[in-house]
Amino acid sequence: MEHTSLQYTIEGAPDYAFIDVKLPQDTIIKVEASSMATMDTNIEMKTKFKGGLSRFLTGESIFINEFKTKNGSGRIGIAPSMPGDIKHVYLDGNQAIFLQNSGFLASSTDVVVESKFQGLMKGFFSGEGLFLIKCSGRGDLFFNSYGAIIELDVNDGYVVDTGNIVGFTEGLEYEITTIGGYRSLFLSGEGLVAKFRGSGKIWIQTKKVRPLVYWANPFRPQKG
Amino acid sequence: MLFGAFGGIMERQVKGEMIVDTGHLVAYDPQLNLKIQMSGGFISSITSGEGLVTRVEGDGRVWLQTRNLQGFASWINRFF
Repeated sequence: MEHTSLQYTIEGAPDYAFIDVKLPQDTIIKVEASSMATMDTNIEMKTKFKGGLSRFLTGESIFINEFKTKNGSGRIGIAPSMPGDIKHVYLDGNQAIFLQNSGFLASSTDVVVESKFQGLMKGFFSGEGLFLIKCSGRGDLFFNSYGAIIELDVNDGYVVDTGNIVGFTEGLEYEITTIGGYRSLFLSGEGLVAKFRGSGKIWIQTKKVRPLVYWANPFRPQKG
Repeated sequence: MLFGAFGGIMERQVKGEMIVDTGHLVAYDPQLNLKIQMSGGFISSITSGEGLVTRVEGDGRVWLQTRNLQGFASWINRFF
């Protein structure tokens, strides 16, 4: 059963999803930097420098602004930068969610958002960055993807291409590996996979960024 | 009249005033007034990544696109 403490609507899903959130008076919402698209004039923005320096050192892209309503309720429209879907989850305070590096979009103020070092092996080989974003606490969480989002209930482990991972629930363990040994990594075109163990939810995206990049690259102007 | 955009197109009714990110505004009724302003204070407008926004004043319709090209470009550029 889905609980929610914030009223919201999602439009344009799954290819160009956009959320519109209605905030009661004196309510703060955390929004990924540069994702605010529209808002009422009684909403004020505050920039947080939390994690500012490490962000430049690590390339992690978690940079959050806070928006607060004053003098009555207000609406804010939030648009991710990448084409794709938005998923809402209500965190119950017991189970945290891990998101891939660029997956965080917005959350209510009681959700704790922090980056977690994956470990060098996992981070480098996953190709998705060295960090995951951990969201814990109680409240609304919105995350986004490239492509549509599919929710999977995992009971006894599952294997997901690292490029298709959007997020997963705490308690699932994973290791990064190849499907058929390192030879197949170079010959098959299949990338690295995450082998999940345990039970929980995994959210996957229907598209991967890398094929888009390979496809678009020949059309870019030559430097020189 | 037909018009296109990047992402989906949403129609919004403005009553009084509303803030719109400049990169999301597609079209608007002619009786509306647009003003460019900073998204927050002087410093936070720069550091927030939100930059300049458009303040729409009056009563009428605006059409917004659900993505903006600058955001898309900075996202995809990281992978090249």
